[in-house]
Amino acid sequence: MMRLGILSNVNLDLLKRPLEKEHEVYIPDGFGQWIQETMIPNNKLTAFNPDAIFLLLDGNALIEGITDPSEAETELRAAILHCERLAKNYTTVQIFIANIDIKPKTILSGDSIRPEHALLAIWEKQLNELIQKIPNLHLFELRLLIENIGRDNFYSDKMWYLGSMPYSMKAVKLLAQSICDALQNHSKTRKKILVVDLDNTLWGGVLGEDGENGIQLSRSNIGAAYRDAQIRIKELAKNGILLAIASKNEKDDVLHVLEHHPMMVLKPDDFVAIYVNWDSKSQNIADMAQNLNLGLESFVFLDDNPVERESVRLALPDVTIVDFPHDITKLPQKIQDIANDYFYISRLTSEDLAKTEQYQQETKRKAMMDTAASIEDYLRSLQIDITLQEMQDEQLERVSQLTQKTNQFNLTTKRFTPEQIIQYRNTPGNHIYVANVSDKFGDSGLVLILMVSQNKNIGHIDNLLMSCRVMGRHIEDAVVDAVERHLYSKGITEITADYLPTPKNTPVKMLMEHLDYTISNVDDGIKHYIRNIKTETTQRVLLFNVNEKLYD
Amino acid sequence: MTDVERIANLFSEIMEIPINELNDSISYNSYPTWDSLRHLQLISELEDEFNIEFCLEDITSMRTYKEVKELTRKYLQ
Repeated sequence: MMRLGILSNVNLDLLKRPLEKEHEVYIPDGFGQWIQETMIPNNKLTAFNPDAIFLLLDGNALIEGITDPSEAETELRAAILHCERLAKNYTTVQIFIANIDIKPKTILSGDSIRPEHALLAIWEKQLNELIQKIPNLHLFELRLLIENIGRDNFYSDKMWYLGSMPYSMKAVKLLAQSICDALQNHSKTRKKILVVDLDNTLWGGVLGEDGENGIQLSRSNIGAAYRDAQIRIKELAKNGILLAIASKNEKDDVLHVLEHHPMMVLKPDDFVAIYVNWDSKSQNIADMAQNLNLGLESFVFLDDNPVERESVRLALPDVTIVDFPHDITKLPQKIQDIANDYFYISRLTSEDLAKTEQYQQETKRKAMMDTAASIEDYLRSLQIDITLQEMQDEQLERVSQLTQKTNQFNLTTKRFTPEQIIQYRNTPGNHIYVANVSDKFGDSGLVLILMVSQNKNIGHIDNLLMSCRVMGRHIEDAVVDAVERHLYSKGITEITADYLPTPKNTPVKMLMEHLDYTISNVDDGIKHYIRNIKTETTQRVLLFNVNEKLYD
Repeated sequence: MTDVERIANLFSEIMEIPINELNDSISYNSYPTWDSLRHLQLISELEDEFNIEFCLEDITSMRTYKEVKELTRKYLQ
């Protein structure tokens, strides 16, 4: 249940009832108000205190009465400035702005170029630039909705001329649903890995029976459905999702197809795990979870065989099992649906883009660890480089993401949306420290976050979290040490912290003790710690230097 | 479900009047929930439900629940 503000230049009152089934809704009286609502912070919209605002402008109404295309362009650019003002006046609110649609109405000669198309392109470009600049601004795909059911079905002349409502009832219902979906997508936890079967899933037929030349995988006919599905799956990987194979086949045969079949889109390098054997698939997936250090709830499993799906569902109830279309021509669309349902993300970070590579680097580190004489030797030989700084604007997405998906190395498991991170940072005395880590095998990116608030001379660690992929290297020791020195320079003499136990964060149960913090009291399982950084010394394991980019 | 039942369900839901309280004399603007917005919503939902299109005259002359039923059924013949 959220508090939604709906702004528009046309009458969208009809949206209120369907949306009020799930949320609280504010729509201003007199729909021309939308510009005023962006301008003045102290208005009804502010009093309503929304969690999210949707700005759904009707393109035709926006350029009503304007015949000159360059005047229309000016009008659109002015509207974009109002959007920018709205975003800047409500930085802690999620703001969704629709791409507009302009119905071609002007009577022109057949071969003329329609001015509406150029105007749409201008809006798209300007809106996109604005969204990239401002973290709490998101795109709402209104035009996609219209395109999917067609303008004839979406618009209603009757409703427009009788009530200033441009849309049909069907459109209003779709729109309400779409708004709810957009809100849900924005706060859902993204799954991390897609495990796929091979026979009749990535290609038609059974490799063991039909042979490499007999499987269906081609640019036309049924084989193209499989190939297009592979293209979509590859795009998932490009968006930071890990891919794995669990197939009952002979490994050599499979590798040969993956490496040499001319129609294969997915290659061995696209996968972080290729389990081809005659063991049960649930065993394979459980092994993957352990080797990749991923929770089973971050797995999505795609297999054409209902028996396999059921057996995994029974053995590993945390794994998401997606159903498989009976009609194979629907497989590519199914991958798109899976992407939207389980792998949605509004923005990617550079860490996301490098996911697969990072997991492959980890395999190399593990190999080196096996040959090292001691853990300390191994850690030193990694040549770990830590850079500590206070969070920069371009790191906002990554920081928010990490707070939302980190479960194991997380002291308090407080989740933050990007808007909430901004709110935290804006509070005077608060610091969000971030550490980037790289070693001789590669760059792990931003992996540690330390959020500290202040009360006179006492600092409080609101959260300390770290990506599980760099656990066990004493990176947290070095970072906490450096942060304490920085806080001391700001006049802090004591630091407090809490450990809130969850089923997943037992790895940090004794973390603060190891970092030489003392327990001040325990209530209800929550451990409260304190350390006097002025007087107490430590016995920390400090193996690395920290490059501090902290400014005063 | 008969046509009258479908009309009754829609009317009841949109105007927020329990089905057993519906009577022919409920009229536009004298019943608090039947305002211009809901009138348009009613028209739109009836059109969607029965796959019909009301002409403008009928939309404006639909002033009582009795007329809603009569005019809608006119399109269903």
